[in-house]
Amino acid sequence: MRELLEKEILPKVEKPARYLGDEYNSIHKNWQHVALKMVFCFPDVYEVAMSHLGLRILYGVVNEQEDLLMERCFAPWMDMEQELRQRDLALFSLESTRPIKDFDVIGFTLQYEMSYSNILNMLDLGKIPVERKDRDESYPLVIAGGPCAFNPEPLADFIDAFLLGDSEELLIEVLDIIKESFLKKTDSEHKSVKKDLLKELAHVQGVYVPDFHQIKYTEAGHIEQIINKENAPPVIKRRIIKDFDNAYFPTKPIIPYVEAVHDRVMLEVARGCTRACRFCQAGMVYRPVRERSPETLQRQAEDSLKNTGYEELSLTSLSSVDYSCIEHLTRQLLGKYEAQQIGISLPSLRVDAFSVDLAKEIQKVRKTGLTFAPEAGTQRLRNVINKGVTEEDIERSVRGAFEAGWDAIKLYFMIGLPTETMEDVAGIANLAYKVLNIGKEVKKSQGSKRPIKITVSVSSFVPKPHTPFQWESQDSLELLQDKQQYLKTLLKDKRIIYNYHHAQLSFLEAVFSRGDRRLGTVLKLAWQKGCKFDGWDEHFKYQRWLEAFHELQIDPEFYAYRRRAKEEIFPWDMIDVGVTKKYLWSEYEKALTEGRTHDCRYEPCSGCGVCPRFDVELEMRGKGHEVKG
Amino acid sequence: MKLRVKYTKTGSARFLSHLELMTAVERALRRAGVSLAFSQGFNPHPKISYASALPVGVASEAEYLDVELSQRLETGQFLKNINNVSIAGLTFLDARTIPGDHKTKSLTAVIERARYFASAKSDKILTSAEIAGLVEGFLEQENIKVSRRTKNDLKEADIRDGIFDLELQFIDDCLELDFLVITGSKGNVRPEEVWEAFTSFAGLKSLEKPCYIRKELYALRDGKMVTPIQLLEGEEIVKGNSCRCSGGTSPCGSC
Repeated sequence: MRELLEKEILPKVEKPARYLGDEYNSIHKNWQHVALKMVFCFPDVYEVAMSHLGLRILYGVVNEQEDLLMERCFAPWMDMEQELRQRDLALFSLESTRPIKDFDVIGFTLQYEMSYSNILNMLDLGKIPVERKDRDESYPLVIAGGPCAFNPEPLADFIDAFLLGDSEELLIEVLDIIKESFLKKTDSEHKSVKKDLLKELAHVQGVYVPDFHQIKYTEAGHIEQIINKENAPPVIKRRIIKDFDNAYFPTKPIIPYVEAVHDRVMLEVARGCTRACRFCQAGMVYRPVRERSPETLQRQAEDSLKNTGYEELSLTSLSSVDYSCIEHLTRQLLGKYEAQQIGISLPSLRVDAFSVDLAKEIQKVRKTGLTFAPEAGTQRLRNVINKGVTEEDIERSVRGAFEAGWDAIKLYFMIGLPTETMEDVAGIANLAYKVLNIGKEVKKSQGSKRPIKITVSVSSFVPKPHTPFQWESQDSLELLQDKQQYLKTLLKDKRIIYNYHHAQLSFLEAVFSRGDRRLGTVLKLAWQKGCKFDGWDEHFKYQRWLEAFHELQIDPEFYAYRRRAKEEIFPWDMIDVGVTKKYLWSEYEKALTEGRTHDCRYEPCSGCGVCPRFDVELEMRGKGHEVKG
Repeated sequence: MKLRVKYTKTGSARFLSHLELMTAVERALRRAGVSLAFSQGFNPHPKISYASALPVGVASEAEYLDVELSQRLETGQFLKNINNVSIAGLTFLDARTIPGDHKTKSLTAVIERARYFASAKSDKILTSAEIAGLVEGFLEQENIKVSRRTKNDLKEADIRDGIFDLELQFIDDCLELDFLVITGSKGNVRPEEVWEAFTSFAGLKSLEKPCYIRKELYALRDGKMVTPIQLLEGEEIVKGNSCRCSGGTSPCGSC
């Protein structure tokens, strides 16, 4: 295989280094010396997959176990897929170029709904039946995890078991159980072994086995009841790492051959966020906030830089500026690595003066722009979504940025948020002009002639499971497009660059994000019609998706547009992420009256439920810089 | 201090684009703990310059780069440190200090010749008499026309004056070519152009994609070919040795 690959295939494909598999720090274990082999599948292209911190963590933690092995497999690009299909070759792992079918476990990561078609395509390329009912004992167990697993139902036909929540401990537990089951396996009793194994896995906290849950629907198509079978627990609790400071962290990540989207050392300064933005799923499902100590992070920085040779170090988390020791940590890292020209970066900034000061320190070179996310254009709507940012915060931050020498500011917004009016949409344009005018004023007083650039990036709101807006409807496609066009007419200045996404993609995302297992047939048909790489504009085939819905007589609007009743049973109600449905409903009601909820790091507990119910607690390392909205 | 370094780009590494290679080299240097010197200005970069970019997929046994260090390092130690942490196929073979008073022109400016080796299974095998006639006939041509892809279209180019010598032999059913061509700022002949031109002239068909290996790069001093390392020392050489891809594993790792 290797020879064929190098001699015949790689010379013909774009970016052949995507498929070599022997990058620095990649791990090549002897298959004879391990008890269980798993392949980590990322349903997107190499550059995206290799940016993923979860892959680095799981690859490291599994391969650290002597008797376990993990290799990688990513969605091959179109040209590579053609080469494989033409030659009737099965999709292979990068490290050992073996068919993914030869592994014991195949694990997909679910980062966004619009990569689901690639999962089916990868299984098929691997010559594995896509539906779990068609896979007998001879096939690997197919598991999945990641943020989209918090509503696993649209993939229930395809995946044997889902892993929910922090997986660095959970995955090892699961693999150990599977490994033990091999010992019991004899040729004569194949059938029962897989089922017994799944039964055993279903009792591990954090594992959801869709086969053991039956969904009953009313005549109107709503869920009437979720019935658990085979003694499986009716509700599956997410896994949470308690001792985050001592949790496994990889300091020898693979150095990609082809430049990845995020190609740098990534340190995870904290997990979880309690700013309580009501649209944000990550902010609800990864609670509570758990911070790493600066000492641990210093050590991880040193090891990682030594082992990788990277020239940049990024401090990641859902909101890194909120890390209580951020100032102290960045100062220390900057001082230590300045001579080696190693840069420090923060993936996201808060809209406040503290963030700008921090950015000033780390970005000695004002080459890149500064990005802020007010999310909504008016104070009223920012209160609805609980984004604790005021007009004054924004003005002060951008003024500070322009004064510090930045010329380019990027602003992120959403349209289609609950209760939004055209006035709120116009507020986005007003804010953009306000920022532009501040820039002009500052540049004039500085006597600077350098051009100002304001980028306004607008995405369409998608209601997500396990958030206060899970009951909400999405704006219709037509309305979203009207709002996009309206903004276009308002943002006419040459210095303002206006970006927006395909509303059709957001519509499908809304369908699948709150979808149920009946959507499995649609997904399969759409894939059969040629849908894949849907997240890539040039490959997104909206008409094919509509055809699939139409042919199967499934109404996508039922999932995207319908406002749910308070008591409705959701497809994901068997998953307990920690935050109670009652809390989410109270947050939803509060949103409609524009009430604010404060961050429990600085204010009293807001009663979301996760700490007492899961026996975990908020863990901070310093006082932090509180920002009150 | 400045070093001139000779390295290979074989095996997996031959599939890296020039940009990917540059990133890989810089990271290997950092892992090796080498103190790099950086350019001044707003966006400091390590001072590394390369001889010439290889087409993706072409292996090389003799690539060169110049790197500036901010702290002295013995060349043997440099090689040891970097080979410990290098990527597959990128092996550092030689390193020489560039003398402080040496009027070094950049590597790209001095490189003028490249020797290549190419091989693939052939549909026929020729006798040595036939071979001699073919080589002579090929090199006696007035023009050798090839088509080159520019940004938008195909353009015709004459590569005859850019080919200085060519040898061929058969090892079993494998056709092997060894040739010296012009490369660098004064002109450039790509190895696949020579392969295509020769096989079509000879009426031979390769049964697989040929594998190409760059064997050496040369500068000219007083009309004589010297390697970039010899250029620093004042030595001369007669002709690049050409180890052939027969028996054992080939440097390109796929023959």
